[in-house]
Amino acid sequence: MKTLFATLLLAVVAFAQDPLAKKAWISVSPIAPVTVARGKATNAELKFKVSNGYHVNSNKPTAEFLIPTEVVLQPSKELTIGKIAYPAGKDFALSFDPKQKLSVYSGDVAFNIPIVAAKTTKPGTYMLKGELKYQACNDVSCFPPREAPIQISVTVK
Amino acid sequence: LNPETRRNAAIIALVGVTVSFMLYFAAYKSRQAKNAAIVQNLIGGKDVSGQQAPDFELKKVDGSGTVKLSDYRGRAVMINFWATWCGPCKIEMPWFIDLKKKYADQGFEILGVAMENTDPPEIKAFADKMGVNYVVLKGKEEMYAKYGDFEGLPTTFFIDKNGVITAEYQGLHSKSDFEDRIRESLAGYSASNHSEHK
Repeated sequence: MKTLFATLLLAVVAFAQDPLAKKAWISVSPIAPVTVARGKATNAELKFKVSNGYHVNSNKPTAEFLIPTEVVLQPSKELTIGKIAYPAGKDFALSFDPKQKLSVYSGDVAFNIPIVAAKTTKPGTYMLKGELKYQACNDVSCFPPREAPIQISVTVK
Repeated sequence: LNPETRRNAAIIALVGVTVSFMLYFAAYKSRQAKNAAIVQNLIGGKDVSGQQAPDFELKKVDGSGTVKLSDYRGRAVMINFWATWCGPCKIEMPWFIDLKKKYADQGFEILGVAMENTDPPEIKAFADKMGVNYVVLKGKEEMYAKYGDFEGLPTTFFIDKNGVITAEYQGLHSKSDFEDRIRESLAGYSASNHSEHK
């Protein structure tokens, strides 16, 4: 009975939370662990979804001052991050300014993060940590830049 | 009734009450969201229209000192929160330049408050490039809370000559909407005015 009461209470509290307080413009999927041989390279796939009705700038925005979407990973002694081939953005124009074309990501987005293990790296599992930086807008508003934490489990053989 | 039946009845009653509460709350939030979207133009935060505009003192991005909102008492003021990285903010800037020219001699002022970490000289360079003819200030994080926890940029507050907030716009609206709100702020706050476009 106590468990049921506690569960119901938690459900009510979670339900009653103001949705604006935890509004996120994107949701990042956990990155699948990767395995790489010493001296070789592999790719980890980062996938995220931009909420319906919103967009984030692509990695190459079309106008000065716009904040690009980018991955920043903490440096690692054992693993090197290669140059990320970000996907091209989709053309998008705000309804108030149809002539100004923006380069954005919307909906499902995925790209690879190249990871290289040095020949000298000892076999084992390493965790790369970092963040996906982005700044979201909809047709009439923009929201402050955010960072979504990401981590990649890399097993070196 | 045996104890097991009583226990089951209690469980059913508890679940029923909880589900009823959740349904009621969902209906309430849905009504509230509809009102916010259609009636108040608010994406998030509190409606602060009709309240005295909180005073603040912020640095001008041109480095020529600070500005206090209370310095503008006696004039209608439009406070526009914006950022250089905000596309919709850029669209409305030329409108504000025109509206400042049109209504300045009636006692209308605009304060552009840049809500970002960009250095003031860069913000100034951006504003100069846009031809901004009004005062641009470097915002502080605390401004969000001061002005009702507004959501997103641009967000614009219209303040009458007595320092009362007559309207708030979150997000981009049309130039004619802005002009209507400016005229109202020049006329002064009245509850009937407010309820018309609230």
